[in-house]
Amino acid sequence: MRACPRRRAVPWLLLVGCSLLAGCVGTGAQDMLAPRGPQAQRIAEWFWVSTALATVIFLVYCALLGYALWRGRRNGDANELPPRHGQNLVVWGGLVVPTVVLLGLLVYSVVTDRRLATLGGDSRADLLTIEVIGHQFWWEVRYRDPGNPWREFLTANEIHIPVGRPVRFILQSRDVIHSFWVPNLHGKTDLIPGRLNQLVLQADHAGTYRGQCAEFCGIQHAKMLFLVIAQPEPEFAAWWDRQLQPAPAFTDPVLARGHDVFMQNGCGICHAIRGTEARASVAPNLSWFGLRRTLAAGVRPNTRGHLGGWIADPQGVKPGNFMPAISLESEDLQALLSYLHALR
Amino acid sequence: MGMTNDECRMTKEQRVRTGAAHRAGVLRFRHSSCVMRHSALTVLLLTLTSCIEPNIRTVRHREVAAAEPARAEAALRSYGCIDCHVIPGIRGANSFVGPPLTSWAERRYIAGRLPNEPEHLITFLVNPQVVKPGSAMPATGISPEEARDVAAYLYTLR
Repeated sequence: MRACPRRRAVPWLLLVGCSLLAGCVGTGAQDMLAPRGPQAQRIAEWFWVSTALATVIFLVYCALLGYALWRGRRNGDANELPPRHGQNLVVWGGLVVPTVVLLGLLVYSVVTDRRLATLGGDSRADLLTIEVIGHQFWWEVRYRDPGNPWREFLTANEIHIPVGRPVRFILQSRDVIHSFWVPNLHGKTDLIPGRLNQLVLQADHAGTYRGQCAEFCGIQHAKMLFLVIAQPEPEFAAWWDRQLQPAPAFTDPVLARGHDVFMQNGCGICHAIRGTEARASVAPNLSWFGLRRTLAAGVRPNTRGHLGGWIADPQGVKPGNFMPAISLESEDLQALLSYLHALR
Repeated sequence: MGMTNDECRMTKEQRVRTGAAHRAGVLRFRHSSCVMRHSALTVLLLTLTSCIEPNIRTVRHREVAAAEPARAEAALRSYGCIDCHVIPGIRGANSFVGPPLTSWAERRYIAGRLPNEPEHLITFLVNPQVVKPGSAMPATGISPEEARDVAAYLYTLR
């Protein structure tokens, strides 16, 4: 007799499925099971506790079912439980135990949620505050400093935070609903047009973590990424100071030409570079662009080759994004690449 | 023709043994026509072979020393090649900013300047602005070793 092929496939499917799942567990830069902050830690704990509990319940259920089948087959119809036993089974197995387990999970959830929500204490307005504004398909980032408004600045797609202290994010959207998610640090929070949402998170370890828009927002939703770079306090302060500097007036002929190419070909109609006449905020702010690690909202490493390809044909890299291709002479393109990468 | 009917004709047993074509009767020759058909078939086959167009393009197999084409994909991705060129075999490399690299092994010139030889290609990949000043292709920062792997891969494209 040949075993049914479908039945034979089941163990293989299980094996492959488990291996795939095992692949999810890692120390990746976008991994909720590799927590790098107190909140992600609690979320991961919750995940493991509820998974373990569900596994135990499932195994007990399977054992009971197996026992019933075995006993039923052995004794046939003559094997009915006395009514009292049956009633007990229903009351305990169907009512008491599930109620206790579910209530326990509920309490655990509420406690976890409270702990997630109370990070930063009551004086949240005093926390370092970063505004994140979602756009199709990139992230505008505004660093706030209520005491010194001249120390505020704009950047895009790359968020630097200091390690070891809570940071407050104010989330809003310019167009459709997006969702801000850095799995290594916290859960998701939506960015909703016309609303301000708040999220406080903390990174306990320095590192670069990847975030992702987690609410479908249009054709390039999947390529709406960002980086969160957690760094020690002095490095963070130095980075902030750097962002406040205006772009230098380059004397090198190639860089000066790059600057002119940027200003004369309409780049400044959408983009801004601090210290130049380009001041628009329709598209990512390009101040100190040469310091960024990625371009096109986390989609490509910020290298000369990728930047050239992106400027020459943005629709080839991210079809449906709002950046048009601009026809540039090849030498102008080279000068522009040099200029943008000299902003560092 | 010292062949008898019996020799030319296969026995029933042989026919059963020799598969479908034989069973269809192809080899059930008769005496004199047997040899004639053989020669006719040979002539026909020879005539047919001359119909197959010889490959007049003699593609030289270019060896790139100390290179591993399998490592090229990582370099093609990380230096931005894929954002400007169509590169067969590399997923997502479908942009027409620069020339498509299809059938690279058959190209005669690199950037319209240098003969398409491995050493020239590596030089061009590492520093296109030296080979062709003002070209839209930027110096991507690729190392000579990585360029070697990329060259080896490109020469597999026929």
